[in-house]
Amino acid sequence: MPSPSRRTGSWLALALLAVAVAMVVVTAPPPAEDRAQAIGSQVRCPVCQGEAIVDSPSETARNMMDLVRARIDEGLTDQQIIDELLTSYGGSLLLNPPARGATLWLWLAPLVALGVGTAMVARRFHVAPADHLPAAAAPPVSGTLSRRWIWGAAVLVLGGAVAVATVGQFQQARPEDQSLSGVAGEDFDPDSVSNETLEAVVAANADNPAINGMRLALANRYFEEGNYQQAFGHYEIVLDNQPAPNEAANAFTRLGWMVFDGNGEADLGIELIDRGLELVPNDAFAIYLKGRIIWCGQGDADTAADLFSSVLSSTGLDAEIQDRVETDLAAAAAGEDCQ
Amino acid sequence: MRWARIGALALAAGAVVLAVIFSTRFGNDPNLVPSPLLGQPAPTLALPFLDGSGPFDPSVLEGRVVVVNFFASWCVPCREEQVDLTATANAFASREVIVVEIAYQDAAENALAFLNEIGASPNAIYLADPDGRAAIAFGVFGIPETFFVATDGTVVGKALGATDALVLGSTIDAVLAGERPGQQVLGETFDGPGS
Repeated sequence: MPSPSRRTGSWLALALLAVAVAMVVVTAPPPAEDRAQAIGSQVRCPVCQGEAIVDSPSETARNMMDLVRARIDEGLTDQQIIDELLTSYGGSLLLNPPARGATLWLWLAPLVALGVGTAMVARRFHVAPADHLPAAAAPPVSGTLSRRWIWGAAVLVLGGAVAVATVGQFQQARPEDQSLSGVAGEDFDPDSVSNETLEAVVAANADNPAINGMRLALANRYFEEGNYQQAFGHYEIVLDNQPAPNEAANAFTRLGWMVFDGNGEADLGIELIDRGLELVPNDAFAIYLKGRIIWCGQGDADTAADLFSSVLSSTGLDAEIQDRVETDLAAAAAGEDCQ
Repeated sequence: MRWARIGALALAAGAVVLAVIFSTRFGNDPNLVPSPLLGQPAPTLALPFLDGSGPFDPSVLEGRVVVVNFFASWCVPCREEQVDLTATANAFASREVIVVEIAYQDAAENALAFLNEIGASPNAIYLADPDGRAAIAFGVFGIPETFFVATDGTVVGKALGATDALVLGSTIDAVLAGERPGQQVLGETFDGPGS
């Protein structure tokens, strides 16, 4: 059995060890990944809308995070790493503008406004008591106060009105043909690109899943034109090319309609559309096309009418589709043959 | 209470000024902020060749006017300008001008297929940027983006959107004449495949 002194000694050693570990934990610099995350949360992803590179899944943001990690490994300080990014992208890359230089007023303005407001409120409650004034000179306090408030309110309302009226004058439309993607990506009108150009772009990226969206847009264009032969091939490639669920559903739905409409294969058409509906349930357009096949291909007007009703109960339906479904529903419910 | 009234007036005036600033600035594309690289030394292009034939030696570019273009096979406007970039690389080869095209977020085989299809110049240099370092160093927002580097290695021009032979030729002429053309916006750019 260990003597009491030896036991005390081992307790002491243990305590010292615990203190040493605690000191290492407390005083050690934050792990590299924590630093990378902290830097990444300050830097705006240049191809996103107000998103930090640490949060963005875009390739540009991922590359920038990799660069941040590499620079941390090379021993650079946080400020040196941020400065490197600012050298190429400029100050607008920071999510929080620096509290110096031209952006200092962004930080000071709220404080100034708060100060002015506080001063105004303080003065409002610091009116000299009426009994300090000669009785004859004492104004009706409540009267001057309310007049002052009316003045203040009038000035604010007037200022607001001028601001609202002026804003419209200065708003500029993005110049045509001069917009940039990144932030302006949604301004890009794919309709302005010819089928031939889209064909060339997707052909150059035959096995790139990132191009699926563009290929689907092209295929849908052919589908709308009734050019099933061209559309068919593109939908097949999308399905072979690691499609996202919504992309696969889009392709299955239209393939299903085409095998029915083009080849008269109702069962296969329904099977394909059902595969799309497994991926994106309640897709109104898919349910509508399925209803059309059941009605026109299998002659089952009742089931079709049920499907059309369920389509009409979904929200956000395209006006044109809604018209078509309503017409078809009326006809199917009356037991008519499909047109 | 004169001060209170003056304070209220100042606040209202400030609100109007802010409204005007915001309304005029928000119409602008933030990406149109002039590149901070203009007037600065161009980043070094220590990159591998696109065809996998090894590392490129950036000292080849010293003392020459360099046109640095970022492109990708998924980029629609890049198709429009590729022919003109090739023609420019050939036309200016005798005047110590080098066109460097860097594939941006694109698989090497796709970028090579793009060049094989539309055409490439024996006088131009085609590089890969596998981890996007060159694109970050140049502050690329979306492609196509083209930078013009003077003989002293300073970035003196930047074009956003598809260039053409006229823009490329006149800008290179200006750089050769010692001018600093600055930034010009020519059209649409794309920030990634599928955009």
